[in-house]
Amino acid sequence: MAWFIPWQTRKTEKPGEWYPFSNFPMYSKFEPDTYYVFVTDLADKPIALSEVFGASSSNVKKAYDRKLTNLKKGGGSKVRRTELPLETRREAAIEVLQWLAASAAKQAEVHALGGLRLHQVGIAFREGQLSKNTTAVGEITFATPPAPAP
Amino acid sequence: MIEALCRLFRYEPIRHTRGELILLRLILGLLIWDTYSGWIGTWTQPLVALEALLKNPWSWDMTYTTQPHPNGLAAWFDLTWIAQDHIEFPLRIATIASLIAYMAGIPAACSLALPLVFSILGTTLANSQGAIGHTAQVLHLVLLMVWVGGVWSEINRWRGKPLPQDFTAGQWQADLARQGIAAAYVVSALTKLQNSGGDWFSDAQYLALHVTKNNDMQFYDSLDPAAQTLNWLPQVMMQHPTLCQMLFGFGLPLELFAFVGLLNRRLAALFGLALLSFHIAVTELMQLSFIFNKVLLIAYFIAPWWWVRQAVQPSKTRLAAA
Repeated sequence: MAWFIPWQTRKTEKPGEWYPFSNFPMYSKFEPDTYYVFVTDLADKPIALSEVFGASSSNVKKAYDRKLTNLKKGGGSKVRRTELPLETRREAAIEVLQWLAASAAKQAEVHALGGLRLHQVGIAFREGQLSKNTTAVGEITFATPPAPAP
Repeated sequence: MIEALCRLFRYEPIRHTRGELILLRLILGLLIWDTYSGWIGTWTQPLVALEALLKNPWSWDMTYTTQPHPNGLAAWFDLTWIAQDHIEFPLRIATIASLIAYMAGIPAACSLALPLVFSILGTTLANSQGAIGHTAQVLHLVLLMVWVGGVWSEINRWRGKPLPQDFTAGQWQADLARQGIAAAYVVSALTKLQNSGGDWFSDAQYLALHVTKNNDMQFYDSLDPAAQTLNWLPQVMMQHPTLCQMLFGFGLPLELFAFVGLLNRRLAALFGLALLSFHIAVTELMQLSFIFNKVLLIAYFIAPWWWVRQAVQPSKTRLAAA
């Protein structure tokens, strides 16, 4: 297994991950900045991810992160994935929001929101202070009105 | 001094008593059951937990219809069939029945086969959606090791051969489970060393950023303001980077040398307690539960019941037993 997993996963998006085996990459590298994402409705009111979508913030961030990594590889860009052009990040955000909406546990509740917006929050330590920088990176709207309650 | 060190590091196979093995079966069975019911989240309210344990498996549901980012076995096979309700539901109920059989003492080779297949395929499918979760990873690794130990025991019994170290089947399975847990920690430490280029200890000063990130993410999970009660902490941590390095720096050698805890009961308890303390510190700071890691460390490494028994057992009986 010690050789099989690294070999088998060497060309995958996540080398070292082959459930239930893992190289446990979480928190293996600390950098002087990081980020997370959150989801709001189109009026920027935050949505409780676990309650409405049955998803966790951590999983939404991982999904967004993965899309950014793939877009960065595809575009051959040399900037960090969180600093990709807003247009590129928008593409990733829209894909994540569509995935989130499609797999939501409470479909009617999600569609009643009219749309979703993904926000990226950068966290950095500068000049002795922690700073946060929030950017709305992408949104989707639901074309069909919510189904009437039975 | 040298004699004491030699005694501390002497290999003494951990031979669990029959009572301990029954307890380990119950613990493993209930932890796996949690992955279909989420009862642990309410463990402080036993009646609510019991209700979750009994009711939730009937409505638990996987909603995946595709596997856009195949992981593990999903890279070779389409696993979406397991999420189809007419397959998932009977399999889940049969899995619960198998877990009950395991906890009642049916050999692991039979009783854990279905829980193993259903757990690993189901979680592999979940991990093939675009975000890989590690919450139950160590638990499923232990499940795999115990089942492998069970099959190995049956084969040896059939061939009339003893198990390594003259273990009983249960002791052998527990030993393999411990090896699986230790291996996971060692791999985690090696990844930290590799990915950080050896700077993990010095970079641990930036942990404060991750505390902020995790607290905020916890808030956006539920919109519960209680998740942000530690908002003052990251700034303090950044102003005292050595504190962060001391607190988290000790986690790396603990993980790297976790295999030393396999040598005997004393070292198992020592490493188990140290890793448990580390997880508790991470939970307090970053709101990451690590509940499966904690319970498995208590069960397979620390085994407090054994130490309590040693303490209360009259010394003469202990000597006779030795």
